[in-house]
Amino acid sequence: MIQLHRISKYYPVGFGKNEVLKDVDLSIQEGEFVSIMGPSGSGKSTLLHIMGLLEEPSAGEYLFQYDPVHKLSEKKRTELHRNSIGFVFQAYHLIDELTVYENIETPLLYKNMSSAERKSRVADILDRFNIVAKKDLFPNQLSGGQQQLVGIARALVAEPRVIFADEPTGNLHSSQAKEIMELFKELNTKDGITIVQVTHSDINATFGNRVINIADGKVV
Amino acid sequence: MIKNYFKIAWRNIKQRKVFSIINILGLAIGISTALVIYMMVHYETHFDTFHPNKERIFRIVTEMPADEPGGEGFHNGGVPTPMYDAAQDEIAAFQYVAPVSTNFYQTKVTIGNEGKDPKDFISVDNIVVTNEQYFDIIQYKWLAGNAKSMAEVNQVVLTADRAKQYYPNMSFAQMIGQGITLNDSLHFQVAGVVEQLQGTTDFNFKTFISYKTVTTGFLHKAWYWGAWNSINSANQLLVMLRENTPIATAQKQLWAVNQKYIKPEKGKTQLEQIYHLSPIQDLHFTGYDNFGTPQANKEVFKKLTIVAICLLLLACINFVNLNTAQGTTRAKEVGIRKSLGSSVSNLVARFLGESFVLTCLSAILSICMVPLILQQFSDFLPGGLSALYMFQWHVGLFLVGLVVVMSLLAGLYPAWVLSKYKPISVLRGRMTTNTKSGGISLRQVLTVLQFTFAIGFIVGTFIVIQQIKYALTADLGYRKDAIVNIRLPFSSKVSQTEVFAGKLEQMSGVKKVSKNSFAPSTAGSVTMIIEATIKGKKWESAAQIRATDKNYIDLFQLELVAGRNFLRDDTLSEAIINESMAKAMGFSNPNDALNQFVSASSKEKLPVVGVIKDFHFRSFRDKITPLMMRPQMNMMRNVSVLVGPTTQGYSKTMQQFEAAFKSVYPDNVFDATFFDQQIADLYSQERNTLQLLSWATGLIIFISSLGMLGLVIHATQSRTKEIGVRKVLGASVTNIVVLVSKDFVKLIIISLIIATPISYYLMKEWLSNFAYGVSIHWWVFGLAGLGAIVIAVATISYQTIKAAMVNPIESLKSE
Repeated sequence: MIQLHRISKYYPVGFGKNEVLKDVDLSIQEGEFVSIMGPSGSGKSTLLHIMGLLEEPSAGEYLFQYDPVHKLSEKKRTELHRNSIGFVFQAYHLIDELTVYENIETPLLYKNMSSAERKSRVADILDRFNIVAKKDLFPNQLSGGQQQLVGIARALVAEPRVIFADEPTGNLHSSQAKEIMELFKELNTKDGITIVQVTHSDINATFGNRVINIADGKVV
Repeated sequence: MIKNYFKIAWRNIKQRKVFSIINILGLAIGISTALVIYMMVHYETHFDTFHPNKERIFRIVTEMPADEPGGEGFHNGGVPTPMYDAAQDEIAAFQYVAPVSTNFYQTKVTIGNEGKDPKDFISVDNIVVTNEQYFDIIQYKWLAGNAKSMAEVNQVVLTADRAKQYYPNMSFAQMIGQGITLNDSLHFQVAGVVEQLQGTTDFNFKTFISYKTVTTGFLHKAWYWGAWNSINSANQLLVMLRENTPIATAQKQLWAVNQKYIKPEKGKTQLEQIYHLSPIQDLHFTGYDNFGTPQANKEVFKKLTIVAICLLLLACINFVNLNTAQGTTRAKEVGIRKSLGSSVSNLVARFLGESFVLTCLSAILSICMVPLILQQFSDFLPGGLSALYMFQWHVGLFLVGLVVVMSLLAGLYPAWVLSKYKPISVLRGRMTTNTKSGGISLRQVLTVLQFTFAIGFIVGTFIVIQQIKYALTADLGYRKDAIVNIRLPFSSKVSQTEVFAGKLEQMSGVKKVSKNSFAPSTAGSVTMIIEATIKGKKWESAAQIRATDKNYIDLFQLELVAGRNFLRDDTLSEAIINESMAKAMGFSNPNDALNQFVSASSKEKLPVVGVIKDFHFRSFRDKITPLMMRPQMNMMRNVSVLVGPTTQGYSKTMQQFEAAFKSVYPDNVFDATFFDQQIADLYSQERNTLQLLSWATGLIIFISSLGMLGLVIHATQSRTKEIGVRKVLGASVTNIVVLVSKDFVKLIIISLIIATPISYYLMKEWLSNFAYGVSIHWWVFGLAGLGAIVIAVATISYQTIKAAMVNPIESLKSE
């Protein structure tokens, strides 16, 4: 599903450059649950962002579902964000001005779905995550774990093929973290959604079926 | 999705209350101003557009060209009365020819046949002398009778409302043949009743008198009809061209008549009068006067439109500034939405939705503001314009168009900037605050633009104030305080004028009384062609004519530079001229002009007995031109009274005057005004300009200050941490205030530099309208700049001081 060939990423610094990723080769199959691990500054977040089409590699080739991403138009990328890719962020990144319901509904709006279908999809997911009672609250009225639950619900509602999670439990305490990870495990096994997460935690990594270690911008 | 956008927009507006109020208020001011100006222009440009065949209806107007080429001649909406017959008999292109003569004013009307239970109406206006063809040109609906009888002598047609006033208990058919008497001397029969014209029109006549009544009888003489060299704006001429007649053909035939009756002066090729065809749609606009109804000035429309555009632009600038300044807070939303699959156009639509909702709210607010503006500017706006005028489809359409344009103008740039943010930098928290990027930001440019406008308008206001003050306090060359002018009725006979003046003279508080046609300075004027024979050569020139008695010079403290005052004022035997006329006659020494003979008509030949120093007999807009005064009793319809000092105010004196007036003219309205007030009224146009300018300046300053307030709130919010750190490092409150304020003050100084030459040039242009204008001083610009800085610092000081006073622990803890 995801194939990286000699992917590099560097930023210009003064007269030289700061290399974050160096010739990364990687492939992830459909249905995998991959954890990317490594020390701070090793380039794991950058790698995730490149896979999630939020950042462009400086060099190398990236195939997403056998499509060469680096040749895709802006429109095509937006299309992938709408239909195939879901994100979960460490800082949740819910839209503060929207209620729980509206936050979850937002990706569906961009898919030009009929209002009736949107309603039933959002209702399903609220039900599944047990947050029906919270649907009219705003993000700042929720605890961190609840916010992340909404964040995952929002990532799932568009039924993506893959979810990219950037330290999804980084801001949560351990019992909440466990719940979230169990949820990911369930999504992976039951729904067959590919999951790629960046994490610091060995415990979290055990929920996945493969670990990729990164150090100094290289897969080790 | 659209619904969703509006919902979020509304929530955002509610959440950022201060910014929303700033935006809405600014936009509402702009929109309501634009709305009122649109309504006014629409109203004024739709006068007399409803007449059938309106493209064939014209007025003949007269131009009296200046002597020297390039000079400014005279324009008059009237024609010499012999033109009435000449146009009828000699110009084939005219299908209908109708005199429109408005010589009757403040007329006494008596209803009832020959002494049987008469009913009096005093001071009736809207009376016109015209013929049956008038009703072919301007089409009325006839309720009784017809136009045919208007070709006869002593016939009158009434409009329905006036007819109902005169004969409340009669049907329209019964009114035909009823008797009406004007000024106790002219007897008429009602020949018909017409409905008043529906639609905005300057044809507001209510009583139509048949033209034949004037061609014979004493009125013909009393009104000085029948001479080609006498032009009065009360005698106008309306014509309708035959179908399919080109205007050029009509103009050619008119020119033939022109040449036949009007000859050039000796030794010159230029005719003294040139007649033009003026289309009916120009009737309502200044250039030629118009039956005494208020007219509109297209130049004013232009200026007002500029004001409206300025205000709208400034409001848009506020919107752009505040929204781009809030970029950091908005950026997070943009980033998330992009990662969820939002395209750039989705985001642009989302932000435009917000500006649209804001503009709609502003539009609603401005609809509420319009009646208040109409009330505030009621002196300035045409009388027929009410708030109800707003509820017309075209006004609605204009408003909708304005809302769409404004929301695009205000929203497009911020939407574009915001949607361009790269999601990853936002989501990673690497968002640059974008307050300073080294170069010049668009925000700074726009703020400079705003304050350039503000400073320019402040300068303009200062200079207009100076000019008006100069006009009202400068030495005009005559006395203007403690003088009351009492206007006599048109029907006043010479004997009545004498009796009334005599009564006034005997009153204890009265020092002096003068009978005259006009006080020295007046809006009205009478121009005649004066002839003289100087050193054997014929001399001719247009001059202002004043009928004055021998008290005039004393009462108004005019200065005789040569010769003497009138010896007697009961016969038309002598003339006094002003210095300009003496110069025009070729005498640089006024003494040489004495004993020359001048004549305004072939019948008279008056010796010049005195020369007076030039005085400003019109406003400062006009140059002093030749003027001739002569004692002509039957032209004196104004009595000027110099009153002595009093401790009880003038209301008692005025009551005495009114009593005396009523004893002589029981049927007329007492009309008295203080002379200095009349002079002030001469500058009503400038004072209207000033009122408008002050408001525009106030609003521009207000909008710009709002914008600056918004920017400074944002600046202090986004620099909270910086301010906290600086305080920890030992900065005082003053240091912090200076730190934040100096960026803004810098912008204002740049604005001042840009505004100075532009406003200097524009005000020079404006002052060139005045023959006598003030000069522009440099301190005006300094003061305007200082004013802008004071206003700006006052606006931002509260916010900056508040930010500087915060305990640094609080601002740093939250990080």
